[in-house]
Amino acid sequence: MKIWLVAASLVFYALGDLRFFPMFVMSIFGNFVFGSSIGRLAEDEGKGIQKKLLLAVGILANVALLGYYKYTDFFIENFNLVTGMNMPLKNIILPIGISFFTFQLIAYLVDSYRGLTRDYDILDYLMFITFFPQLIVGPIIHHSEAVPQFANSDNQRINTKNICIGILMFSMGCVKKILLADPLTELAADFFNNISGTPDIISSWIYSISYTISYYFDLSSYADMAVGLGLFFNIELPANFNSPYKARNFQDYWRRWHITLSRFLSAYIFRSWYDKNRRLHGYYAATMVTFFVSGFWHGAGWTFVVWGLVNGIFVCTASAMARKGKSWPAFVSFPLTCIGVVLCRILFVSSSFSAAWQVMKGLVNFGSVSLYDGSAYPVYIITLAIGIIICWFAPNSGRIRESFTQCLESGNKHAYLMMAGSAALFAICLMSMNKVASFLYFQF
Amino acid sequence: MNKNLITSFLAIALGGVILMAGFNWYMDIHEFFRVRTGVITKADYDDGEINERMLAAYSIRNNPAGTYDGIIVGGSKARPLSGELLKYYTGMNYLSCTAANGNFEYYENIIDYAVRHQGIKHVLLHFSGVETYTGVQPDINNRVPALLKGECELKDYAYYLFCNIGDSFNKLFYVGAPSLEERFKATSHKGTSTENENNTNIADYMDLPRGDWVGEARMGSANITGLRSYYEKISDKGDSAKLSWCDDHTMAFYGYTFEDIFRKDKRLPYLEDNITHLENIKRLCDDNGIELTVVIGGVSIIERAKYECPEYWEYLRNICEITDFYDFSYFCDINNNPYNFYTGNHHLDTISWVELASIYGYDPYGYGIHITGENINEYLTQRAHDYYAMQEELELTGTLALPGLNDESDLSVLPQSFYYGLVN
Repeated sequence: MKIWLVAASLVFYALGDLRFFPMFVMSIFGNFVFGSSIGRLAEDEGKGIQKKLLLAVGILANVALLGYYKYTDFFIENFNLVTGMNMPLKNIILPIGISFFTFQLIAYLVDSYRGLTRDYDILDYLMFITFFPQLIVGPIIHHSEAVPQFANSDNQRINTKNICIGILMFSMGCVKKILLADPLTELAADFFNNISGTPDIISSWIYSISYTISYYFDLSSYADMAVGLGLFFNIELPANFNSPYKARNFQDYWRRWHITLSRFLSAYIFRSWYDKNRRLHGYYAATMVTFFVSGFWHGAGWTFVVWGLVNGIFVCTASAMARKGKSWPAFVSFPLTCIGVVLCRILFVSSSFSAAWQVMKGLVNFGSVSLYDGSAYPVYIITLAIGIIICWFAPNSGRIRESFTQCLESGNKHAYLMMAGSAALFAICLMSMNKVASFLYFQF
Repeated sequence: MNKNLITSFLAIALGGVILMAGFNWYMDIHEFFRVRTGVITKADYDDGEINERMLAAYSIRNNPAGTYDGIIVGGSKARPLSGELLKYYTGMNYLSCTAANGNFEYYENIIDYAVRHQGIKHVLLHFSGVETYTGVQPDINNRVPALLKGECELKDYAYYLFCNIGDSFNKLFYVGAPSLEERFKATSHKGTSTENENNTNIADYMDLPRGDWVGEARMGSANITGLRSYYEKISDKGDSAKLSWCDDHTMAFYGYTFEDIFRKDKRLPYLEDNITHLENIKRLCDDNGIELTVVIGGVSIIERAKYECPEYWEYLRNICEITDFYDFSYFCDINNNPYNFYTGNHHLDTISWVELASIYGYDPYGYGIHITGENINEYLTQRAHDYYAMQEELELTGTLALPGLNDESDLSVLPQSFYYGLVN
């Protein structure tokens, strides 16, 4: 079963782009060799320096690999800018999922150093890295939550309850992606790719909110599908989102948005800095460093770095207010957080600072109402309205899953109704699949 | 309960998919099912509106051998080559097999299919430089039907039954648009000609000084027939609107393409493939005693900027080694005049009519050259000379003095004498 799953997952990766398959295989086996060696040295207290050296080399190798594929052109561009030279760009294609599995591998190495991975069987390790539902866009799973599940022989039996829940989660993911995210992204991306001056106020708001909403649906849809697929194999993958747009401040927002990324950055970046200086300014410094890394991880561009830093400032501000016991009422904090999220999303999706600035100016371009060209057709506006309602008022997929599980366990007939609804929506998704675009996070 | 739930899910999902496939079949947004039965023909649509490769393939399959004497093959620029007009010159009946986004793979496919199923005597193959830099387009309106590739037709059935349900739903919102039946009634076979349609006469084309087809009821609107003329678009806005149409749809592209004409890094990945396909087409025609007329149509400067280069000239020489051809793509006032082009890439229908007249011996504008092994060197030398002369002009003056910008020398309106000349 495990061998079959590993093989299937490797084939799945190879089907994405065969050119990167050798790199991927070498990376996972290389890290296993490093991790095992570090783990063995961890038992011997006299070999601390060797252990540190191996860890440093292992992490550097992973970072170098990621850096080569993801940041080479970024560094060349900046080198050209500073020196005035005209070094040609390499136009290197980013291997699928490299940003995600690199983090998992680094976490594995660090925890090998800490002596937490000694008992891992190579097959369980391979399952942890290659398990196909999470391989290319996360959730970023931690070995401590995944490997014990793979090692548990009970999980190799068919569990119809998990399959039912998996079907529901997978269907919800499909609906979010195919019926909500893709239609919203289409026009929003077109708008942001063609910023040539200050746009009118209506377009600026419609497409900024659209992109904000569609990004959530796009990424969370994949997370839902991954969780659903995991359950088919009795593997519980962590939830990645918890209604982020219901947050009251940015600290709250980042506890709800891309939870597994925040968890990784918190454990391996924030902690590393904060543990060195546990005073107040140490906390803020660690937060800013963490968000700097987050921004840089998201994309090789200064807009992403600034996006990360702006988020860091917002989180520090929320934290400072919480420390002083200050808080705004919900009718102020909720819309303020939403506006902050939209502004950050504008920075995130814009091709340059000037484009982002133009759109932000468009948001307050009050004299331009009459210039709106009506490009957002009625179905688009209805889809956007449904998206907003789901984001702000509907229960999230985690809550729906809880209700469904309760119905299953109590034999409640509502389970049939929920299953029928998801089947109907799944059928519509199947019949709309030839318009599906790739996941937005494939580029990261 | 869990097993029942899983079974329910699968049953409902499967039932939903079957239901929606039925809805797709009923709406038939891509006209696949109606085309198969022969109810719909190519004349009902403007180019690119639905899959014209499919229309052509099923038009051939649905007609018994001998219905047509010849086929017209090409991309979107070949669409104005009317079967009716061609019949006037050759006396034969034609089926138009032109398809938007043309490429040589399709040209060979359709000619091969027509030879096997129709027993044709004449092929008019019309292409331009665009085939050297664009290949097969994979979208639904350009995919090659299984029928043409000799594959199982069930593949096409599955494709169109399970295609995007959203498109079928969208069709429900086409309130106010003419129904298919209305469009069909309002349209005759512009691209085709058969023995049954003996109303075709060159006189029909004589009343076209403003680019209008004779009788709206007979030929339908330009949107349906694909007629490309400024006047159809601007008839209610006055003649001055020609300038604004051209400024928006053609001239807007000129400013930044002048320098592109002389770029050295043009990428023409299909040169060798095209030659191979053309060799196959020529062999196919020769082996079956079919007359092959090869035409390279008129092109605007905008399109020329994408492929005009010494490599392309060598490609023309290779074509000439396979077959003689009629060239309308050389540097001349008709091609250099932006007002002869309805969009950046497409010339007016009138240019096609002049092309046909020239091929068949009536040549009031001196447009077109018959290229053979005897004059290919002279022709290519002249083409290179004109190219470098234009480059020099651009370098010296910073612009190109194009004909038509300050005069009415374009062919958007053909004089009555052109049609009288044809008749006489």
